[in-house]
Amino acid sequence: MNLWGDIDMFISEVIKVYEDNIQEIIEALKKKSLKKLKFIFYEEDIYIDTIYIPKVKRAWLDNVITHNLVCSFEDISNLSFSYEIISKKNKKYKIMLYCINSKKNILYNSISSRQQVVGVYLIQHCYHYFVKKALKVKNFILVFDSNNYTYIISSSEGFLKNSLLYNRKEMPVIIESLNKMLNDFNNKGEQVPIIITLNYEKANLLMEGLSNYCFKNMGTVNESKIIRKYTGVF
Amino acid sequence: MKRHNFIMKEYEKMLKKRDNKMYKTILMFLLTINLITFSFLSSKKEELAAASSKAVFNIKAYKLSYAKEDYKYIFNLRESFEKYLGKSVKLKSFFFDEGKIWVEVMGKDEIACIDLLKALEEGEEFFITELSTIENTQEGYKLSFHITTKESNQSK
Repeated sequence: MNLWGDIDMFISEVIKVYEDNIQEIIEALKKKSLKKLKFIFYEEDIYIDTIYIPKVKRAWLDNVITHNLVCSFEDISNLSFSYEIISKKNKKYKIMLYCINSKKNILYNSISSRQQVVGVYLIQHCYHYFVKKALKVKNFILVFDSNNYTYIISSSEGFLKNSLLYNRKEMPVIIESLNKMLNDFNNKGEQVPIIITLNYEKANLLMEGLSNYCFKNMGTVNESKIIRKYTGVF
Repeated sequence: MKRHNFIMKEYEKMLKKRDNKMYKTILMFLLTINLITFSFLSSKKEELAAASSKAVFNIKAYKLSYAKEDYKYIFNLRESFEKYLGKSVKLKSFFFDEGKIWVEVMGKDEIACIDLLKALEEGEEFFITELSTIENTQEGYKLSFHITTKESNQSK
């Protein structure tokens, strides 16, 4: 990234986008004079997959992955994706692919020519990064609350491997889902990772429900701080 | 650490196009400025070159005319003037200034100087316009006078 890119990173404005505030943001964008915008998308289901593609030039990776997506989805016109190369073996890239099909993409239509979206980030990635850096752990399950939803994400070797999203009120479903996830680890014979809770009100309830597993409660951290850490915006 | 940016590829492409368009505009603007500056400077350079060559030409022409009209002319005159000098009169100076020919001769005696003046008056080439007195100096008798050619005197 060049110098201007670095400066852009700091001077851009972060906008939190929920399902229910899209219209408000569209109205607000009309009044904004600030040019650089970064969106944090909440309440997004992430399609996560591990794919293998032949070793190609980095510049072509985007196109190769896009073509790969055609095999998995009927319509990829509204999809946005990001990826991370896990390893390079036998002339193949092992890639962790993250893909979203968001309704919030209509925001692009209300961006004026004076404004510019420089980043769209997911709240799951922000929390994942924060915990990974704060506790220096690579394998964990993180449960956190944000707005009206409870997110459950699992990290494997520092990569976001799974992401689930539930209504905050559906506590039994959350416990059941976590249980299923933990059982999968047991069934595969893998070591069950630590369960971390952050900004999660019902941590005690969760611990009671899953008393056989190892927990760590990180308490409450200002969400804006978590976002700032990830996006780099002041 | 990679920050996973889910910005839409189509939007990114559009941004790239917009940026490229902006860069092109800036580039065109800078090129235009450069072109204008370059053409302005080259026109100035040509102007200066023309002025200096004209000046050089003038100086050369002036030198040429000066050499032709003054030096060659005065040497020719001096040669013809020396014919009038006898053995007892020596030419000390013979130069052209302020439209006149200044002459200074040194004679052994007064008579030699007078003979020279007579010879000049009788000759058809020179015309004495001003005459100083004959001074008796340690070297001899000094006589200074102004002459013109009879041709130029008649034309005046």
